[in-house]
Amino acid sequence: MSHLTQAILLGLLGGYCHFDWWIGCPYLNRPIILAPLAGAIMGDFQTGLYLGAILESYFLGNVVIGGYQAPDAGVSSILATAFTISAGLDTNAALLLAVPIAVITTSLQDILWALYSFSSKIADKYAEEGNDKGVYLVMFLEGIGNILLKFLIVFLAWMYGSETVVALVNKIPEPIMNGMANAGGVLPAIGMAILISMIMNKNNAPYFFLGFILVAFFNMPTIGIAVLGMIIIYLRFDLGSIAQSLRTGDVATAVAGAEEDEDDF
Amino acid sequence: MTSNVQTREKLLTKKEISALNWRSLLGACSCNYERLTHKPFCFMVGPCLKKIYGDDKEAFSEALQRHLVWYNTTPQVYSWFGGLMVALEEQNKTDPDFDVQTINSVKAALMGPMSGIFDSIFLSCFRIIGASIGISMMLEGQAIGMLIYALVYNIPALVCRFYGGHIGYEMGTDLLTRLQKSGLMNIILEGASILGLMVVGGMCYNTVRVNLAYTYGVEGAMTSLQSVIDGIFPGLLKLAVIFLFLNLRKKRVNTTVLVFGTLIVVVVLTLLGIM
Repeated sequence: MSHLTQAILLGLLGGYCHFDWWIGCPYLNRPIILAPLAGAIMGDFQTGLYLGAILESYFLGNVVIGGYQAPDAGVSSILATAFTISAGLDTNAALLLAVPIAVITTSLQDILWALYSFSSKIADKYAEEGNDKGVYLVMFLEGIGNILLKFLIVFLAWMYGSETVVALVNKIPEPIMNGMANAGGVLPAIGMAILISMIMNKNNAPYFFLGFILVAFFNMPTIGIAVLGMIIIYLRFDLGSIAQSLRTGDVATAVAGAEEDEDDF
Repeated sequence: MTSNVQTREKLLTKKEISALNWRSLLGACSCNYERLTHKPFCFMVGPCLKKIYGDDKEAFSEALQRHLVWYNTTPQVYSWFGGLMVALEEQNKTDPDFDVQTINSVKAALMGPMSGIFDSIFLSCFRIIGASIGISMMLEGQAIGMLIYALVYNIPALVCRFYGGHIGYEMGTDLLTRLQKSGLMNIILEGASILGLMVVGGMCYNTVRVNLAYTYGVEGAMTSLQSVIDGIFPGLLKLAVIFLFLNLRKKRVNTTVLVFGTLIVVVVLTLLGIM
């Protein structure tokens, strides 16, 4: 595959990162999907799979919540995968490439979104005139602009940056490289910490340790943990009696009853 | 306001609400920091507004402007929200006593709670479970992990999206206020967080790798510190590292700083032969 073909294909994956938001946010613009695909383009799907797993575990807590724009996991995972495979970099060190790329990509998008505040004024004007089609047109153009931005970031970075990155990576002495690989193993802990701080509070903290212990001591697969979690929820909130009262239509008392039970602990 | 929602005169058919569900797919296609996903919201409810206000051009344009205000929720409940809003718009058209201000105040009031509850269900629960199963399979080289991730997240998400518009339109704000008053909302929130957190706990063990290279003892009978620690409590070092990061994050240390700080510390530890 020529360098240009690779650049175009990787760029299309980059464009998909935003196109995902055109088709109902199925969250396929994540490392877990994109890294294996980028790996396939680079001719090494298996390495892509592994990279997808470790990149996703770092970026798992990096999601758009409440308007906060997290560092771009999608674009960075495509480029990090491509660079890692072509430079023969230790897969565990790939994260160190991904993190700065993610931050840069999001900053570029920030600029675009700031510009969109102005184009929104045009849409406002169309709305005043009752011209719904005009509002939609502005929306589509902005959306296409965002797809183009991400296409171009990946395309240009691969087209003109790959040789530099590969040369730089190859200059790193081996002992430092080993250290970077070790650091790559520790970094998912940052992703996990972000995730935990999103979900954990005083009341539910023990459940985190329960999940950890189930894997550490008993090697339980995720599905087992999820099912056990559902059983715990069922028992803790007394869902059996709530379901019964839902049938008789008396929800408020049922829930109040369940909450009283909780206080007895 | 909520009581007459159920017996109201309906101006929209099932077909139009289904169209609203479909249009909600574009829910985040354009975005800016000033008002986030306001245009896609307008795009979603636009045809319904046109139907409601018919030839009344002025009312239609006012309605368009009403739905170009700041908007942001969990993408999977866009359609639900859209259904809710067109139900209110319809009331605005049919009920002369209706205060038009209500529409955007309901929108503003519900946006937060709706995002809170559905972010924790979709982003912090389904997505985490899917990703966790996917990651553990992909670490073993199984490509099907990708598919499992996509399905675990998207099947519930699509069900929610394609029923959402109808639920919102038929029930109005009634269902949500009832959920909130009854306390069921809290149960769902807490339940989702328990499930998500248990899975995250397991994932922490599977994805974080902290291995000490340090060994001690006499030649030929070396003991590695790592195996001693793992003999007492497997993964204790992983837990320690995670809680260190959790603490640093609480102190508002920037994530990028954390990443490169970790890099430096680990490289030094590796050079010293400790890791």
